[in-house]
Amino acid sequence: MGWKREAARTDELLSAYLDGALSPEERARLEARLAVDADLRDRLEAMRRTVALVRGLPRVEAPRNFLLTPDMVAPATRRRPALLQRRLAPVLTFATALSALACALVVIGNLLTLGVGGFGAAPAAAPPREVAMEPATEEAETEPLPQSVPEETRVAMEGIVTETLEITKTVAPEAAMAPEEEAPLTLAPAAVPTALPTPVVTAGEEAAKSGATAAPTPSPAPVEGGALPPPTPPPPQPGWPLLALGLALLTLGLLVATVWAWRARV
Amino acid sequence: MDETALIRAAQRGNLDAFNELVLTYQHRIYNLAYRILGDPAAAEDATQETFIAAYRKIGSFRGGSFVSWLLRIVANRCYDELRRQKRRPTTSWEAFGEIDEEANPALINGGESPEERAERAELARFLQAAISTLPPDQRVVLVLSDVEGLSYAEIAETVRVPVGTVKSRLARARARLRDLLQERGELLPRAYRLENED
Repeated sequence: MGWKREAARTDELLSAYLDGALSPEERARLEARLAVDADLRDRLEAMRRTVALVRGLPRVEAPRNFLLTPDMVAPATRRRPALLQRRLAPVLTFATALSALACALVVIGNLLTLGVGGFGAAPAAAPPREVAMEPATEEAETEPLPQSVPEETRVAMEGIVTETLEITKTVAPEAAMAPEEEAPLTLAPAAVPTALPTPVVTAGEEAAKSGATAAPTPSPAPVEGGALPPPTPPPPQPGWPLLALGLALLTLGLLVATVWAWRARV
Repeated sequence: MDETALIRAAQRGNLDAFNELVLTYQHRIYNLAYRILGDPAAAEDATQETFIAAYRKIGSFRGGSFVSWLLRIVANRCYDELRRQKRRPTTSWEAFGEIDEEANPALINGGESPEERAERAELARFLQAAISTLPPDQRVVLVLSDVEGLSYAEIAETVRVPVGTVKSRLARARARLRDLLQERGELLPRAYRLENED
């Protein structure tokens, strides 16, 4: 390999020498070598004659004119769709259809689930329960409830709680199909706000409801201003409405991109 | 109208002005394409495509040598074509003997005796076949240098490589051509053999 590299380096010097492209120092060194090296002189001469033969090739005449016509250059002024757009159009169409289908399936699935559960407000009603319990628990520890609640409200509240428990008992067998705590929790927020102007009074009753809800038999443990049972973690929230919304937005975006891509193809 | 005025008119969309430039340079462009590609039909295509591309891009021409600009376009087109052919090689040293002598426009040269014309034709055919065996990067540099007479700097600008790369590619091309001519020298007319002086 070394001698090949050396030969290539020598040829480079000879080639540049023929073109007069060597520096004075390189030229002097090469001429000194040429003076004593017959083989090197032969190589130089052969290269000189090769170059002369190539330079002596006749100039070729064009066999015809290459004049341009308006037709030849017309495509330059016509707007051609970008390659990306042309390739993207079918892909975007498919993606849009897929996204729309997924969105429809999610919406239908959501509706069906709501139908089975019986009450559409179940997932949405759970968070208010948690929110309502926090201040209620604090208040229950600091101030006894019975004194702060007017008599009419107390009566109304007790009636509602009794009613709720009854409904819970009625619904419980059906609700077994759904997540355990969904049915009672669904009813509680819907009923309480209509009967109670303030959430404060719900503390003791909430505790009672929780007990009633957790146990299949209606044996509410009455708590009067005492410690509440530890709050149960909220049930996992199905994110179907959010998923449906996301898919709907994705479909819309893809639809816009598809229209843009197809318009570029035309 | 001088060349600068023709270029400006072409830049404003005047096709007739551009065609004046085509008539001026078409032989030189075709010659370069033919020497690089070694095939008249391919050279015609490359020449036509070069002028079409030049017209479309003439708005980007910012002065300097117009013919160098054209040579850069045609050299790059030929280089692309050679790389495409490299994926589907069709040229070999053995094939050079089958080149149609009568159809080769390089052989048209008036003022010669029939014998001289035949010898020159044979030499030209031999050399063109030898050039066609060179790798594309060496071939383009050799033709730009020894056929078109461009300087190292002009070639470097045309093919967008450093001057040092031009020098080494040119040296390798010349050395390879020299070796081919020495190996196959018996195929050359006696007057053109490298060893004829020995």
